[in-house]
Amino acid sequence: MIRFTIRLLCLVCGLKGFAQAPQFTALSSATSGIDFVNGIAENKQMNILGYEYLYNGAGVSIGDINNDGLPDIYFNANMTPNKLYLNLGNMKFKDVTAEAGVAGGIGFKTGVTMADVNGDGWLDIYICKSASTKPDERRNMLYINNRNGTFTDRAKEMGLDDASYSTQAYFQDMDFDGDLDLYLLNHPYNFQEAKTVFLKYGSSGKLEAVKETESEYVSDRYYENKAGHFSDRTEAAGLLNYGFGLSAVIGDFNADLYPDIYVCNDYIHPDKLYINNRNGTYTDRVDDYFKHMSYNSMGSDYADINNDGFPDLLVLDMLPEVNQRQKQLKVAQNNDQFAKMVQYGFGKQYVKNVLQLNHENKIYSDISYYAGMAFTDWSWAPLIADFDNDGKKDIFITNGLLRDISDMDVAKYKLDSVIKELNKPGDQQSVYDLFQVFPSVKVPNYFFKNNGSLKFTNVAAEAGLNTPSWSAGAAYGDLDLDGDLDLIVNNTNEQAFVYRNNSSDNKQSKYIRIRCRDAAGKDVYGARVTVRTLDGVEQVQWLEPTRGYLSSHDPVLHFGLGTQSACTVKVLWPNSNSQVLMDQKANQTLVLHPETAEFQPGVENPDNRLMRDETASSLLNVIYSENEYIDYKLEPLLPRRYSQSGPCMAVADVNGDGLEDFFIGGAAGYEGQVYRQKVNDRFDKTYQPALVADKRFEDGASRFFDADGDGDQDLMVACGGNEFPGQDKMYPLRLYINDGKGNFSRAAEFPEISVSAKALAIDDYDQDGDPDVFVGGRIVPGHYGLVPESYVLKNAQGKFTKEVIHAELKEIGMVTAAEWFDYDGDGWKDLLVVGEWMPISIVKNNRGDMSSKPLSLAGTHGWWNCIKIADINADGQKDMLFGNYGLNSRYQCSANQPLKMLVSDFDQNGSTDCVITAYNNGVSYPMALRDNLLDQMVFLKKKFLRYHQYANATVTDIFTPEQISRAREFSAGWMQSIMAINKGKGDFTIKPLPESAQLFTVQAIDVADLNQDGHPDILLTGNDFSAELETGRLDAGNGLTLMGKGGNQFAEMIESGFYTPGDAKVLLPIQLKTKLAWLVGGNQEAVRLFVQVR
Amino acid sequence: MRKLISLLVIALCCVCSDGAANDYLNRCNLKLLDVIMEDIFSPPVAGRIQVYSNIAAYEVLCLKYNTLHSLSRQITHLQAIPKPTKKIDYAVAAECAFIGVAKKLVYSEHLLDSFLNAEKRYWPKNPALIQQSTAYAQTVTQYLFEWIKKDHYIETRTMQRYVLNDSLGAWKPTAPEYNNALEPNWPLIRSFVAPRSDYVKAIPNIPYSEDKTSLYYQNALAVYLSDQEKDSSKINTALYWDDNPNTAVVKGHATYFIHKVTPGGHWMKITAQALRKVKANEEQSAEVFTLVSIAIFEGFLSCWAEKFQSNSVRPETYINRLIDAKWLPLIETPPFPEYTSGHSVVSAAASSMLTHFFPKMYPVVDSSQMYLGLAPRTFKSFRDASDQASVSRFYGGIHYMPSLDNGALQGREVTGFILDKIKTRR
Repeated sequence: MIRFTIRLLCLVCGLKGFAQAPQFTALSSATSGIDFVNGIAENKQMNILGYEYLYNGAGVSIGDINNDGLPDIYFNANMTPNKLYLNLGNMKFKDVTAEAGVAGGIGFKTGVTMADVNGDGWLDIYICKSASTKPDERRNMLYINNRNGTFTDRAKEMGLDDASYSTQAYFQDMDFDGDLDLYLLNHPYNFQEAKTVFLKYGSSGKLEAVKETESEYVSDRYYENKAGHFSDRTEAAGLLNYGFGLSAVIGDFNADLYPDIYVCNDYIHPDKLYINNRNGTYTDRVDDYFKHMSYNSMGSDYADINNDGFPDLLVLDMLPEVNQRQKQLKVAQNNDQFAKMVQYGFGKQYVKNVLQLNHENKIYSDISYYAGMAFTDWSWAPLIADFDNDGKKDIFITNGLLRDISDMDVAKYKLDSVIKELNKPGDQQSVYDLFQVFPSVKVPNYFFKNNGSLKFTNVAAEAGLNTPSWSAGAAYGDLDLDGDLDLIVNNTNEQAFVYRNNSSDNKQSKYIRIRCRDAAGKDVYGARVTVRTLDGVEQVQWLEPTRGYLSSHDPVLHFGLGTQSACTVKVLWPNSNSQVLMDQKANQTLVLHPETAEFQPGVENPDNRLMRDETASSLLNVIYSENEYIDYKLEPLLPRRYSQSGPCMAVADVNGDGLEDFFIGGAAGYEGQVYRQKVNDRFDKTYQPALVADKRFEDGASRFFDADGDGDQDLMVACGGNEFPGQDKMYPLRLYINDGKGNFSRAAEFPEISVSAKALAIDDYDQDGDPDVFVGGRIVPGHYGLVPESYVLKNAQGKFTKEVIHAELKEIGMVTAAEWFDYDGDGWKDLLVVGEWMPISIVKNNRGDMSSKPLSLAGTHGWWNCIKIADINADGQKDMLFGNYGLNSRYQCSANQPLKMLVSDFDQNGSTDCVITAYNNGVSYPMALRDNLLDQMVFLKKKFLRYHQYANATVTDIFTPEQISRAREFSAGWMQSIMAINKGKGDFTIKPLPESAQLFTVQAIDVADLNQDGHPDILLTGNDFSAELETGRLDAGNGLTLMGKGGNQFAEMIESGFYTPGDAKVLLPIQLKTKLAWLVGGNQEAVRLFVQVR
Repeated sequence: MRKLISLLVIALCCVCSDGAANDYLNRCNLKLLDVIMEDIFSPPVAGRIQVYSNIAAYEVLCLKYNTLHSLSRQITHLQAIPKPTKKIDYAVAAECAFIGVAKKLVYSEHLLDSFLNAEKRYWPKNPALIQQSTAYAQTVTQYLFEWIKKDHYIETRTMQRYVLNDSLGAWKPTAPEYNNALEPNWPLIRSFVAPRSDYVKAIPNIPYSEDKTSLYYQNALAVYLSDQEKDSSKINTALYWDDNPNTAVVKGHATYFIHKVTPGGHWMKITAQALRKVKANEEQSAEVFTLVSIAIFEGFLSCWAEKFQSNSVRPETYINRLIDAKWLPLIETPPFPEYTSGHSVVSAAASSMLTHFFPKMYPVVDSSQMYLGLAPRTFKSFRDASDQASVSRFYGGIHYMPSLDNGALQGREVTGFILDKIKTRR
């Protein structure tokens, strides 16, 4: 009787009940006095086909311009006069534009920034302009505050009447000289080149991407403030660039306290991260800090979402969340073009938002899928702030474009027919009709409540923020001084939203507001404020009020304190002086002055690392190279490239010298290699002619064991990969016999088994003294979705024969890992098998008989990668760990809403068609875009003549009932990596691993007591860089160390020294002469050696 | 300019008015070209749709005219179509078979349905006869479709797509869409007249070289220099013969596509105009449309065999590398290898087929590009038109000169081969 029970933790986070009234109240213009509209008039001269950024909207700024304590509001309007509203208190405002003289002049106005540019304690207003072909109509303006309710444009005399195509101005004290410098974000005007990559021979004689040399009016500009006059230091600072900049972040990206600059570039131009070299120059190091980025980068914000003291970066893109709009608006990605972009320095860019988690100065990880905010439609401003005073920062996102200019039906079909009508002589149609054909759809903004644990929930509807609109710039500030952040949104062709925040009505949630001002009343930008409450929560903010999109915010730092009634406030000023204010009462506004601070030296963190990367000192120089095979060229609907699943590795003492050696398999065309451990913890490659002779095979799995009972370690290698469709000869299971000295030769007598495999499990299951073999088939090359055969090979004195096994084991699925494990403690090792689209499965070993039907664990159908058997709680019983696909991908599912895959040759042309579906808003839709689906199944082109016909199609709309009934169906509803705690006699309790283990695809696990505290610890590594482009590569994993705390509790240790940011597939312990170490092997990267320190 | 075009339209309307019932093959072909354009078929695939549709009508009419020689047992794998068992109207049956086969091959079937519906006004008012004729057409369509299905088209849909080759001389995707090469497996499609698609071999291409003294470089430089002339007559010629079924216009996030008839479609329109000019009867129309469409189909097949054999890089890639880093050609480079020029091959194949039928026809007037707002052109002869079509690819900046000359030779040879193999008259 099997007792394999699971107790899954309920993971559905219940949202705290909202009060009856929504969190925000939209105030009518009659109530607020704000009737501003950013009206866009389309005409022959100004239309979307003439100027692509026509619908990008305008900005809004909040700040107290008359120092009466009430934040005022300034709106930019693209084509009509700007407006300044004076705050009269109680959310009443008065239009004082005319009196103040701040209508913004001529031209097309974009971003607006309130900042005290001349440092006199009064906020000034800087206005950016773009669009016009005439430079004089693009001159930016600087309204200097005359301290009497009026302003005067002094841009020219202060050196800031820049005539670039400007997006937004970012003021910050970049050189710590006490005044504000300017980073001015600009963009080119040649929209035809939005996706062009020109290649020419560079000076090195190699082909390289053509560097744009045009900079006038186009490059971003860096202006240094010298005694009130600004001088252009762009070139000297190394900041000349070319990119369609839509937003920037001024922030500290490498925790050296110096401000760096992140630039979000639209289209093919990659984002830039200009690291401050602390000498007035900057260097773009975006690829050193980020593994990938959004393609069409738009708005951005940089703030600490998980209160770990390190700010995280959010950059928005334009992909809708709703299935129908995705299918209607998204262009399918082009693999060859992506490869070219990577090759020629454009980075890895995907059409999705990125939420880049700052992992204490390791490389950032995009966790947007996990957080639930990868797609928020055509998005402009993300504002990260604590809008509900619970101590966790929430995220408000504006979105919408006046016209869906990427509508695929319009682009591919409709516009053509309109243009042909225009060509007809005597026709009355005009250019106006051309852009009228683009649909005009309002979409609701997003409001993500921070649930903690890096999870967010869109509660825009509950919070009263989901009115469909075309919203662009947005700003926050406590407009009614009631202790919460109110929101102002600049809308296109509609009145601005004025949202009063009602959070402070709930007296249980407290706050503290902090203003950093010097004696002259000037805000000290760059001040870093930490607020610590008694519950141990520490929140950090950094004063840079220009963030989000085209807008700036009230320069008062707002911290929610939850139920805490007091806090400690620490401020670090740009001049490195700091001060600490103990026991500050909640619900007040503190004003901090740098003059009273003192220099306090920082505390060096002690080095507590448990492991050290000793790859270099071990002279290990093993790189797993991959043969070029693009699986999608034959199978466009694959979720990933199955040809890139290597390497496989195995560890054993092959020459009997007492030192452990290792094998690493090769990709097709690269030989497998055996490395021998020498004294001094070093490794030497050995010459293995038998492996060289077999280098044409792609190695998929490998194990050392004594196959022939002669006392040495023989090597079994299974072929893997996807590169040789229909060529059975390219997939032989191979056995290499050891001559006792570590020289291997191919066993002459061995059953002919042809399979692309990833799993080998070896043990003497029948207890006859010879280790036996299970080979788990991974895929049928070129026919993804067909189930390959798996085998049990019985070993009798070195002779292997195929064992008769249950038909359901033979076709158990797409196996990725298997282990022999006596899970029920009957003294016979059972077979544990997992795979892709597979449940955790067990074949019971009935005293050496493996013919029984596999049992599967209900509810565990997943995309499993690996198994680790180990005692993780030191109770003397072996537990199981299972690595799964993780929760940080586009392949989201649950038990009730599983992923499904239909497999059949639907069009009967000899190719295998697989259609993966996922739930979107409660309905299961195919994940493939129309172009990709129709590329695989041409007969569907008759059914889906247009994108809109496919946009809402489910599987039953695509296929006939008969076709569906003939297809094989797979499903997966569980993607979390788990631990199964052994309660004895086959009773296990299943628990998901901590959230940090769900952020990446776990490919390999090991267990050891790293700090020797008696509690076993867990090492996990993984990622999947081969994921298809609509998802983007899964690269959030940096290697994870989970420290055992007893009682099956584990906690992440960030600075453990175990750091594997690559495409890791293998993690194997290897005993060095004096210490324990781990080998980590990844796809297309060097094998690394981590050595235990203590 | 507008006025001029308007006047020409009036003049032309007399020529191309719907006319008589026996003009149906003309109408069918023109409608089919519209549907092909709407569905955005690539040039070789468009050629396949045209040819099978015309063969269907032709084979029916072979039963009506004993002077016409069936293509069965002349072209690969085609056996005689079943004979009608009841009395039929051959014209109705031929038209319905044309549309029946066409519907199998295009996507937007409904456009052909409504066309056929409108055509009924020309048919005899005898319901029983019509019913028997359409039923027979259906039988023919089914019969032919069984034959059509075996041409490897459906298999080639999911064969390995084009895989980029790193060598410098090998084709690379081009701006603005950087699409994958179209139809790399097209050479596996069944030819009507030969066991393999490469039965006519083009003169071998010039070897790739980046040496400034090399012929290759000189050819590229010539493309570039011609473009720099900005000669309006050359520009207009390039635009006139652009015939790109799917031209991208990039405006940032808004990229849209202009559909045009394919090079093969353009020649079907020239054929239609020629047939109207001579007031061709049903028999001759079927014969000429079918043979011209075979020439176009075989031209593409032969050309594609060469293209993916020599796999030559396009001028814009080469010129960007070595001459002008940000140069783009006047017309969009279509997504497939350079050698030989498809337009040159197909224009030569079609024009020599037309010359075969109408050796004395001059001048040749082509008003088929008015749907794009382009004025009609007059040519001395079919050959003159095809020469201009060919050189337009050089003016447009998408082909080197040898590709045109050698392509035209290839096209004429294809037609010669076809005329040797196929007899249409008893």
